[in-house]
Amino acid sequence: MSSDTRRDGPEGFEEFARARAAQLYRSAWLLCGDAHQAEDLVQETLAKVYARWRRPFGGRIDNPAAYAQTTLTRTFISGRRRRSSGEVPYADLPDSAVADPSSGSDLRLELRELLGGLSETDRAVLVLRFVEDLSVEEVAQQLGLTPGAVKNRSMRALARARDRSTT
Amino acid sequence: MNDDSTTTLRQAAERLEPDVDRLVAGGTARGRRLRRRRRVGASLATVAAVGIVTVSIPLLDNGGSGPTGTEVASDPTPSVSETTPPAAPEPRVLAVTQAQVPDTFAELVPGEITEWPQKEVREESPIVDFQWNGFAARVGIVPDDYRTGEPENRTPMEMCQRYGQPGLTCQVLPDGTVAQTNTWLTPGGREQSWANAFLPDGWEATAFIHNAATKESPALTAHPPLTPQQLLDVLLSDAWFQ
Repeated sequence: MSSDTRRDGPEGFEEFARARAAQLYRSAWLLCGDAHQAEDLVQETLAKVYARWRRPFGGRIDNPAAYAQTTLTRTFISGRRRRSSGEVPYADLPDSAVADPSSGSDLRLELRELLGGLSETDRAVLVLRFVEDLSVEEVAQQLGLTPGAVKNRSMRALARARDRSTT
Repeated sequence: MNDDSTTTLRQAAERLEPDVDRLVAGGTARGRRLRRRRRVGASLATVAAVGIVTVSIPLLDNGGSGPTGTEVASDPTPSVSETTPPAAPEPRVLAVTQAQVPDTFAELVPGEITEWPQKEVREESPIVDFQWNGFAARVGIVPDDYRTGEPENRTPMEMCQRYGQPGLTCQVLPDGTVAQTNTWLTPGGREQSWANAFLPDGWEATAFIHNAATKESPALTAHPPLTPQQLLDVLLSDAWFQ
């Protein structure tokens, strides 16, 4: 959605949210590994975007899609840090009562092997780089890392995933 | 890149079909509540801050650019709010990158950002020097573990008493923020407006602006272009956080 044609009112926000919600949810699900947590993360993200949709002093979000993606990633990482520094999502994925696209499939196990044991930041690097197709520089900007750190984390996470899938 | 890993991630993503209606409705409702809370908080903080000038020194100035001269308190009559601070909320997430700090400052107090040197990028605790309308300024927003590397787990008042200038008043605002403001005279006729705020969720925000282009250069005007109160208003804006 072009910022030039964007509507600033509530209708504009809803239009934006409907267009982006599914993609945000996909990222959230891969980050959290759980449908409930993913839904909560997306709603929290949309709430923050809504709160800034029309800001005082005439400011506005230049690129809402990028802002929402950054907000989602940072909220995920920040939330995890607050809840538990030792928490490692995916290490023991709970059974979900709601529709979970990977439940009952080999894909669930593959995801566990791929993402299990990775830190929040490393998971975010993989999702942003290889699902969202962001550049190294864009990932670095979103996560507050240097491009070199993104490359290192990406290689390390993939090597770890490779090791887990071959053992 | 491991193609199998990429394929697995993408296959998982493609199978997801969320309930968009529920996501949008929930996000909008939560957004409305968030906006209401911020409006109430900002209103309380602004009301409490009007007309108050306290005396202190910059706390985030370990870079050596702070004032060393005589303090000036235009109305050194501190007042302490009797408001009981609310329970500490969860720390908010920064809404700005380090590079966005000057522009956000200029959004809040319209002006031209003319220069800021590139420094080490510390996105989780941005402290940025820049020029606003040609005057040297600094804005810093740091978490409560900034000084020691460990969470302080202290109230804003405890932080102010521990890290603030001894003998100077820490002003409690109704939302729980504890703020200090002052104007400083420095050698060479330079003057600096300064404000510092320990926020209820653990963040600390500082801003100062000189009446000169740099901390060493001659004064351009008799006084800094912004008052300490204006700086405090900037620091209390919700623009810095998500």
